[in-house]
Amino acid sequence: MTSHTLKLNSKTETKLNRRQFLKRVSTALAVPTILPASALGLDGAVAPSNRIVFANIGIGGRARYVMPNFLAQPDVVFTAVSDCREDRMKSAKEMIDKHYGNQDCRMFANFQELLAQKDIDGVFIATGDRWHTTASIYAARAGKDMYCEKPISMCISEGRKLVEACRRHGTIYQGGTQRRSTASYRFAVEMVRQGKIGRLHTVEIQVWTGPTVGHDKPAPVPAGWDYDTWLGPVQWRPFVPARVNGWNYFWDTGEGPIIGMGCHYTDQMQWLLKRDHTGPVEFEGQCEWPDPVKYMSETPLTSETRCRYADGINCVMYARKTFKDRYIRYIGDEGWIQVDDETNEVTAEPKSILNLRSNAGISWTNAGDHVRDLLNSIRSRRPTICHPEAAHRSQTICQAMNIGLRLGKKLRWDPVKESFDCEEANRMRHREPRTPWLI
Amino acid sequence: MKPQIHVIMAALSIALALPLQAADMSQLITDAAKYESGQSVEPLRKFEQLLRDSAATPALRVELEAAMIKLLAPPATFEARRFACQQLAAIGTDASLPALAELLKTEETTGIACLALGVHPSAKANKTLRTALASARGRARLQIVTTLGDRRDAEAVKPLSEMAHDNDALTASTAILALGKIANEPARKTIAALRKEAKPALARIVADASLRVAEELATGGDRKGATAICEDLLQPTQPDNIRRGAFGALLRFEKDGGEQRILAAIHGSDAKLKPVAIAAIGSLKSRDASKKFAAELPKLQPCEQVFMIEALANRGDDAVRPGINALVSSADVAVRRAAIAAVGRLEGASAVPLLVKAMAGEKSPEELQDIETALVSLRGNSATDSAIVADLKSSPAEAKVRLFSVLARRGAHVAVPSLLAEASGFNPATVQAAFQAVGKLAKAEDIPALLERLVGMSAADARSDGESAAARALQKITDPAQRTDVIMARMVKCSDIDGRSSLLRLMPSAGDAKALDVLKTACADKEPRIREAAVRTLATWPNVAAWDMLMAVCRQPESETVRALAMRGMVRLAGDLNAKPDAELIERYRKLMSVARNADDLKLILGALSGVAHPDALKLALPLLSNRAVRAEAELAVKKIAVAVKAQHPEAAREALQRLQPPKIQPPAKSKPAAKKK
Repeated sequence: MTSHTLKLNSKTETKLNRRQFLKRVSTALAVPTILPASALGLDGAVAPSNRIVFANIGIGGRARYVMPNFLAQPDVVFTAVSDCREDRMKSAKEMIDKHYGNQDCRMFANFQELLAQKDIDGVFIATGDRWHTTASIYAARAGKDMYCEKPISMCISEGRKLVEACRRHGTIYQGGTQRRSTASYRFAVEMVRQGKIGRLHTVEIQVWTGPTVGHDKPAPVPAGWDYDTWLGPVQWRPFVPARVNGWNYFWDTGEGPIIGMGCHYTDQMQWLLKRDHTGPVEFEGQCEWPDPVKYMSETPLTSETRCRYADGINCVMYARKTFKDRYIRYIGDEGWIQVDDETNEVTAEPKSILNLRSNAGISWTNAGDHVRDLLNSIRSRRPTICHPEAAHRSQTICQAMNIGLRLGKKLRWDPVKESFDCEEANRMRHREPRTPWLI
Repeated sequence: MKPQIHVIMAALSIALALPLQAADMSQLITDAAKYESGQSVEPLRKFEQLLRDSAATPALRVELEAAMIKLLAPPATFEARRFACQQLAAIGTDASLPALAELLKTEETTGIACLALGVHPSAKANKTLRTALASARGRARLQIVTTLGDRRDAEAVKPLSEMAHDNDALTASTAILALGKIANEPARKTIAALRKEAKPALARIVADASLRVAEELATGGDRKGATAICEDLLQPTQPDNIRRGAFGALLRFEKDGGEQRILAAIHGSDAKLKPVAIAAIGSLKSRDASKKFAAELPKLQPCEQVFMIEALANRGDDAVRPGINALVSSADVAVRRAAIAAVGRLEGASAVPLLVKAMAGEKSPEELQDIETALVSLRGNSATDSAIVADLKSSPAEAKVRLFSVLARRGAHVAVPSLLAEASGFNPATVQAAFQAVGKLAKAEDIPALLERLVGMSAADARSDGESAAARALQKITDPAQRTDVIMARMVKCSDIDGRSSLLRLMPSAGDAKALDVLKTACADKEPRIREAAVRTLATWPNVAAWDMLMAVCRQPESETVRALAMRGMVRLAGDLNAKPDAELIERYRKLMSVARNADDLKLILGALSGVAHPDALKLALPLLSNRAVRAEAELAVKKIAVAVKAQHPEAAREALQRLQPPKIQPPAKSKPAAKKK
């Protein structure tokens, strides 16, 4: 990834009308299985020397979900895993060894040792959120390309550092917001760009009501856990089981559903609007905080946050209802189109829009096409569909929403300078990482 | 949610924005200072609310900062101090620096102090950090170095430069990275010297810092200096990622995007840089770049051609098109597929023959899918649609099927007459595909022609597709009566039995009373096939309006077949009403039971009845427990209904469930056990 290839996109986007750009994207995505001829052996199988050697860093539930999508690729071979929890690392090795029918998968308690392996071309990073940027930058520095789960960073300055690191090291990076490679979401974007709902004026997003975490006391670190590594760049705090297990709902280690899920949808919005290099200019919202007597978790329960682009397009993100009720809806002056995330169902008004859909396609739960896009980019060195700048900008929206809620303020944002009109908010763009983690 | 939030927010604001009494604040500090995980976080949340409220109240902000400063000192717990540092990160002024400086003296608290100092707006924070650096050890020292780097403190370069030569690799790396961020003249000199020293353990971090420096120089206008660093890092001895990064930087530094460097890399043999060079072609600014690099296309290896096609397609101008179009017929499948995708992105109507021709011959399903997608993506709406339609006549059947799909996905309404013409053919696959496309594309005005084609169709196997298409198209007419009229208009002219049957089967798509009357009349038609078609259609009627007609058929059936059809239709209609279990519904089930002729009927009825949450449903099901032929189904129904009504009718449910208990069997009289054998 280089800044000028990003400029390329920006430049070419301005040359094209909406429909043309859409067609480019959809067509590019329609050929996910191209392998260069040189990668294929005489029998059509991928020659071992042409396989892309991957390793995994962080193997929790999400990694186990996505891993089969990697293993299914004919030109990928997984050879190593790393996790600060021994039980998880062993279980990942078992999974990979079982797939290949051997015992070859190597285990590294220290991910830096894994990154030092010269035979590894790329890494699949699926650690806890607090580690995403740090692990990605270490991987870039070690010369590895990567797929990193979302959210890509814990604060806005981290995201910018990630973009710069990938550019400095010529890294191919795929952000794990795989809906850009999902048929239902692509169809919705295509229809909006073709003007099927008229002029788009609002993007409505719904994530779920934030869970709460009750009070819990510090406890001894369980055997087999490297808690210091688990914390990583987060400034030290005691091991508290409920906080560690519910890390998603504490500002140090996660940022609740607005970031955890919201970034999937802001990513779609940015992509649709061709704003991968910029963002909204205004943020505001209200939220309901957890009862501090009962709960120690920090992220909001319910919220309604809004942002506005300079051209007047609005976005509203609701955190309400249940996990199954999440969706994104594009609303225009002649209709709307919606994708329900849980069911992958597309609905629209006028309904005739749905006639233009060729088939339902696979849902986001299968990240195979997103992985394929990464692998094609690793060979061609062209930016992935969710390149670092795109991932950073869509994440910035969610981070700005959270900052606005935490400060209880309406904020104006300069997407060029990446700066708020508020000193406190600007300070909250950054979090000083704990040493020895250097980003 | 919104009103609730407003109430909560208003209450909190009123409660917390009021000027705090000194005693209140003191108590809050005392409470917060004791905080450890496991306790209530209420004091901490109150401070966070004060932070929000103090934005417009400078006096409150001063008071809040003072409170946080107090929290930094003993006897506050570590967690309380950590919390205070987080708040000071957002609001801390110079007033907090002395207290933060104290935290820098201890390794345990250096990190949390740096949370606040990393973003502190005053240059005095740099001095605080530098002072602490002199005596800091271990991780605390590294933390301070990192923070000085993040703050880009120019005055820290001297101590950092010394640390960059430390024997400990982590210490040296931390300092080198900080120097790379600062990137002023003295820092650049240190990094240049380190590059020359070329210590293997530090190679990657030095390269990283060097690339940062190069970017900084280029931003400052010193492209020569920046280029020199990157060319140094481009050497084959450097790791691949450093070379790629340096190459990318060099292209960015050049005004034309590095056209000559790209060309040289393409002509060269450096396999690591060649793809990077090709990927960069799309961003070249000069007008003749497309032509120049398109000319390179035939000279490249197939896999390089794939990359080049994509890069040229990103440029999107006319000069790249001929070269790409030529490769649609490449002998290499990957090249062909890349070219096909690019044609879809770049071309319009003129490319239709090219892509249609590409469908010919032995092609994999994936490649055919690519071609279909490319055709869908071609720009030039109506002209391209017409070009595809024009190609239909000369296309073989298999290609036609794909082209119909393409036209449907393009929303090409202009294709409807041609598709209807194709629907008159004899090849079932083609006719099916044509009808499927028409179903998606037809508008209200196309329906008469569509019905004409339906009644006169030749491919019997595709009749259901024709009917589905017509049913779908009929929904474009909003008034049900008009739907019936348009079907009737064709029916009065139709004498063909298959055609009339098809039209009858469309009546549920109209769904009004008039359509139902048509079916009623058809039930008495002199032609048996029409009568059967009418009953079959009645059995699929979308609402209960068909009930009486179905019951009449059931009571006086012409044959067992039509009786069974009518029975199924009524059971389905009754089941649809289960959500509203009332006396009327029970009466419907009672009537169904009365016309049931055999065990199959009863099983069908019990299946639907089991979904009725009404105590009278039990009364219908319970007598069937004694019918051995349907006992199992009756048990299931009783159980399900009893569970559903249990809350409101516990007695009825209990009694019903008791009836399900197997009869108690008297155990046989105990006989004397046989003596155990030893």
